[in-house]
Amino acid sequence: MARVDLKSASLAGTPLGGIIALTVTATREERASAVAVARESGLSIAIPFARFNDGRGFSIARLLRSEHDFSGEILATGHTIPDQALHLLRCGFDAVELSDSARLPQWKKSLKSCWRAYQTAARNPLTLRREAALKKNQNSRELEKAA
Amino acid sequence: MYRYDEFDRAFLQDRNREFRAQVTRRLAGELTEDEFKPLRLMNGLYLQLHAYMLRIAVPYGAMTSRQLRQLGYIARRWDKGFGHWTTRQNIQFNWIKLIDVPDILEALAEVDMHAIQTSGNCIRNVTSDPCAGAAADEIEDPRIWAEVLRQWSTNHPEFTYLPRKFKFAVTGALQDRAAIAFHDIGIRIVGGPNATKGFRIFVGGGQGRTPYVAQEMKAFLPQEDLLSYLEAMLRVYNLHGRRDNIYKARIKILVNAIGVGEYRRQVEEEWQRIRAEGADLPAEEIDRIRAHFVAPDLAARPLDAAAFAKARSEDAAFDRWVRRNVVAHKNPDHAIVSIAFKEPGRPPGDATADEMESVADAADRYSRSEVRVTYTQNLVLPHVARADLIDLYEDLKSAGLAGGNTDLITDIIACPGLDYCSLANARSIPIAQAITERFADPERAENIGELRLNISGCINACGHHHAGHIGILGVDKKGTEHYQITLGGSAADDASVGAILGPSFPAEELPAAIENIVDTYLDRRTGGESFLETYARVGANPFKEALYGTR
Amino acid sequence: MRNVITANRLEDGIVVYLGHTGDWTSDLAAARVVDSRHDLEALEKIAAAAVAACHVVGVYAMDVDLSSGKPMPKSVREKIRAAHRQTFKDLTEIEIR
Repeated sequence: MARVDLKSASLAGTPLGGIIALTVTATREERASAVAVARESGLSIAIPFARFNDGRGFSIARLLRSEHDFSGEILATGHTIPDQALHLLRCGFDAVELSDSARLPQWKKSLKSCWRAYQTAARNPLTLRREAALKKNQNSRELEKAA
Repeated sequence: MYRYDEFDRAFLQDRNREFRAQVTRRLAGELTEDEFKPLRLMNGLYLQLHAYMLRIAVPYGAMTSRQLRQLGYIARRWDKGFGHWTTRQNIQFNWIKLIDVPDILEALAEVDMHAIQTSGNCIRNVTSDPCAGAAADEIEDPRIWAEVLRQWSTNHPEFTYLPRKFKFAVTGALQDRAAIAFHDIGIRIVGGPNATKGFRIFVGGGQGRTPYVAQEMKAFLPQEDLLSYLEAMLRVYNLHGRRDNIYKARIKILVNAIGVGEYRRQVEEEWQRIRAEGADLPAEEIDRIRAHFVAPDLAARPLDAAAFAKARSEDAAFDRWVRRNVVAHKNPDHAIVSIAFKEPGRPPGDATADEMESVADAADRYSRSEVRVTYTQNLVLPHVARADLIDLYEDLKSAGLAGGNTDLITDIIACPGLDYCSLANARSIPIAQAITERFADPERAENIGELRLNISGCINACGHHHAGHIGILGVDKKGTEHYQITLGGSAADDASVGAILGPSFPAEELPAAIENIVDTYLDRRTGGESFLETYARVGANPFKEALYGTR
Repeated sequence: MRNVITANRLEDGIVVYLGHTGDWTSDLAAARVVDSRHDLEALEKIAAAAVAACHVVGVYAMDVDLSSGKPMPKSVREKIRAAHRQTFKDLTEIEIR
């Protein structure tokens, strides 16, 4: 099955060490033990989407990153749509398993559909509103000084 | 008013470009209707009975005259010349073509408006006090925090596919004019120790099939902690809210299933864990947003009291309009003025393009170009000098918008009902029209006094019938439209859910039944008792007897 | 049992009915009425193809009566849909035509 790497917006190979699947109802203990196993054996953790609009996977990924401090690969499996690419990336997913590889070009496009964000997340590859304001402030202060 | 800068504009352009591409993909069959539906809903677009309906966000009900004029332009160019103020302080257009929507969204972006998250299972447009920044009883302008929430919730990566829709309301005044008790999360600005301000947070309110008044979640949350706390609240809901049954998916069901205490425990635990992660806005960014809501510098405008009194004594309609539609402003030379869209015959809350332009003109002339939408489906001019009231009244009168019936029985809240809505069981608009016609005599309506009558065309309760002093719910009884009556609801500080009075009525019997209820109240009331006070004192029985006899 | 197939046109959302030649019409009088399961299934096949081709969405069969040979919707909802009517400034139309 084709996989898209969200960070580089390109086709990715299969995970080197295989995957361990986690359900979207996983408890803290289940998440912790999956992370322990994944760390030990270099596995990726897969979070399945039964339907693209079941958003629990987004929160699970964020918990893996922040609560469990997991830095290995997180993979989205099941039904996702290209329009969710940036949401997945920002919540901590690294890659998405594509049920329909014909949609790969659209995934690439979606990753470049938006450059700005209003809130922090697990990853912040987009310009944040607060940073933009800060920069603007600094610029105007420097201009004032120069004048 | 919050003014967009290049960041906000660029964000909106990206978003509109994305939706234009999504529409193209849908028309080309690259997106199925199943996949497209949540995407179009998140951009305000429904498919209704007759056409697409586009719901445009009026964030916390506040807009400028320029924005209102643009809504009038959209009504004329892409709709049938009118729109509908909604109970979420938004506006919706009923006759929209899918292929036109990208252009409409661009026209909105020209005036820094959008339709983002006015629908869908995400955080919806935040509602607030229509008198914000003007009310005499205000602790702090709630629009500051409503704007903080608007930005935080916009395209949130984690909370865009929630179990169900999610509604916030914020009030900063002593009196709740934002119905916070009927929201998923209700926020009240309160004073804290050492002259600090914070939030009292309520959770789990809502109407619909299972109405609940919200419960207190946290007595005092420091202002700087708002976003991290809400992130914890939403995360617990996103993970544990039900997804197997659309009617049990709102946060109110989760909170009542596990108890507010257990929900609070889980949220507090998560909040303590994430507090330091940086979700909260830095003080500098809060200050940046706050600076957009500095109160306008209203010059002293002494009123010619004698001339004003004379005008009131000579014109009973003007006098009534002043009594009903003009309320105190924090600046004593000024007033907050309601513009009613509820005269007999009008579908409640409908406004023509001409009327939008007339109100925009009045806002420019008399109210610092500011206009507000109320959840009762009227407009408000927040900063009118008392010295201008006579002129404003004359302008509104020539526009046909000088009705003086705010909060009276004819100031009906009604959803679009089966005339437009694909979810409805029964029509709301003809019922509202029949009732306003029956109580059209303004003296009679004023004698009845404040009486909130709300109509919903189905159990989803968009017309807030649960919160009406008199509520009317349309039901389908063996293929005919019937209407159930509830009494005793309120969305104000004494929030409560109305109780069903008895068997439903067919449409043609309903106006007489409502009149019967009103007459029973008038018979029973003592002194200056309001409808709710009388109902609380005498109970439902006298009303049941009046409607159904003693059987 | 008499049925007509109805839907909304994808590009503008307008109420349409499946006509005699596989066309979609906003005029209920021009819709094809069927009175057997077999004929209804044939229409449903045509409709499914129109959904797949992105012409219409939200397809379903609705019940009708015949009045002077013309289909009349049975439910209030379908009468309102068939009228394509607006309410505002058109208030004498509280009674359904």
